[in-house]
Amino acid sequence: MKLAKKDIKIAKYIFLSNIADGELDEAKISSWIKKIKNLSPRKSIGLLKSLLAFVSSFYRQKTIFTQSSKVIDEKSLIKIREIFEKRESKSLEIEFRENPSLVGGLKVKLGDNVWDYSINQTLSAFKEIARG
Amino acid sequence: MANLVDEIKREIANLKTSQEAKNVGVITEVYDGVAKVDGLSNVAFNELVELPNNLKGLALNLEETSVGIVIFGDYTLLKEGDEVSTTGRILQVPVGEALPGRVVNALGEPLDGKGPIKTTKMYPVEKIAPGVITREPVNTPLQTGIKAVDSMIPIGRGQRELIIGDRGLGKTAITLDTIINQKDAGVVCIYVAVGQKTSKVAQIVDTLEKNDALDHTIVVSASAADSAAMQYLAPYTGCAIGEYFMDQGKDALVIYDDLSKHAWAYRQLSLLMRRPSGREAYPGDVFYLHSRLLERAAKLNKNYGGGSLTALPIIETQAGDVSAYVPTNVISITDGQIYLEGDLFYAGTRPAINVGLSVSRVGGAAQIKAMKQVAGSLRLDLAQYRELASFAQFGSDLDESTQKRLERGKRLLEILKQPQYEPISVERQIALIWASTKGHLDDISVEKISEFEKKFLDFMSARRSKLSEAIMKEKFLSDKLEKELEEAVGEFKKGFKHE
Repeated sequence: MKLAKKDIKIAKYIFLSNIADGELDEAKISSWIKKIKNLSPRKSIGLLKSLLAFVSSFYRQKTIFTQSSKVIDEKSLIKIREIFEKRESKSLEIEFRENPSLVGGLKVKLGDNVWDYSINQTLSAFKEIARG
Repeated sequence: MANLVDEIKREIANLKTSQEAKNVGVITEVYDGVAKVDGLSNVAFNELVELPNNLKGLALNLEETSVGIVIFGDYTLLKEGDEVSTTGRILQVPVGEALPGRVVNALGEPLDGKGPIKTTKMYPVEKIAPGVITREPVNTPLQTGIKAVDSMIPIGRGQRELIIGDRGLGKTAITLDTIINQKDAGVVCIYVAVGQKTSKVAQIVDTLEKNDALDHTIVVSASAADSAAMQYLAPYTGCAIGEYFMDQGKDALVIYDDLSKHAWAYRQLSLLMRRPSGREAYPGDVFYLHSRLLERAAKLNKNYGGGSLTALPIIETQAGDVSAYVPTNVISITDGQIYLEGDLFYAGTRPAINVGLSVSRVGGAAQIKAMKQVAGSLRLDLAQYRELASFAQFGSDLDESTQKRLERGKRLLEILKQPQYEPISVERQIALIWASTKGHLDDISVEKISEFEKKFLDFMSARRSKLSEAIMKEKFLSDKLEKELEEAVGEFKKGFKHE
């Protein structure tokens, strides 16, 4: 379903008006969701989907998703978080997931950007070069 | 050996294996060759994106919360949740000297089974057309070998001449004749088949091969079986390949067969991307789709190598309707049009060019003087014939001068007929048209004109080759050359009448 421009505009307004000092006011957003739910389903679905897109994008920008083939200790995760917080000049959260398919190394994702230092990626690069 | 080991170590150290951040997104929807992606916040318009299974895509729709991409290849291999990443570059295709003689798809990948294309050079498919400073006016002829075209609708190198007409009237045949005629002219030809039947493309390749024209030709094929994305891309690929030769100071000719189907493919993509539709359901930028492509045809000045890229776009009309959206767009973009008419075709005039409605706006400047001399009176005689012929059908009593003009006109129309795949060199065309406009054919019956033409051309090659050479050398019909031509025609006619 294509989101209507009007829905995107209203959702953007709600989203932006509930951000203060780089933090999302979750309580206010929840109250907005309740208000939107009271509208007819035809009207609310587009608005909620648009709002969801903005909120998920916000959390993607706030959370560092880290993957490695083996579990990383807490100390290293804090170090990674600090590096990115310094880089982005804002406080971030970090999440970790074990992913054996990476073979080794580390893959970090913040927002839409990915830093892939995994062995799997290096092997893929070699494969690409070999294929010409 | 130590050197080799060091070299490999150095290469490994220099390898960039994802040291930099990649901008990624996630597929939320995939359908009919297009995909909606969440993320890709840094993607640029028309940027190449990488998809799983070695697929590539093009970012065409940048929206506030998502990106619409067209997929090159089998989109059924993709699913919701797959990762898409930006590449930071626009789509490029291989170009170079290895391409002539090959058949490639819209991505420049070989389709002819002759192995990989050995070239390292790549050109972007989308490029800004050459600017005013780099260009010069069209001044060199591009001989098609077709009498009606070279005499009355001349095409110059760097020109954009539209070929327009209904289906099955010989639009492709004109372009194939033109390609065949470039055999020794040093013009690299690119034939772009958009939305054609694969059997037709195979037939074209076969025809080119049989006429020794494939060696200087590249066929870019996006057939009807290919996705709309490939059909949309193919003309730009052909243009990029041609631009390479132009940048090398060479002359290239690119044929887009046809831009109607190209517009259909773009309409399909636009509708699938849910862009707002306009007239005939085409998107608002369908004019720009063709204008940015055809603007890339140019004649560069000497400071920029002096190369040229001539474009022959084809438009297929429906029931002769030239006032439809896409035909009028392309007519306004190009430097003239060759209009093919069904009535002429079925009356046996082939090529079925309506010389009254066809025009070349800039080609006249490129025409050689000798051709200009003979073509001027040809155009006039034909115009008079058309006027008189429409008038004469209502009355039977005609004065002698009118009768003569009508008879001359019939012979001129006959002389402009030409079989397929038999282009004629310009000096031979000049001799023939000169003979017909000077009335040397008036005493030959209309039925015998084609026989006269064939034998006269043979005679000129066998007995008067020096005269043909002199016409080409001087490029002007001096009194002396005209006298020699008169003698030659007189000598030939004596023999022809006795047969």
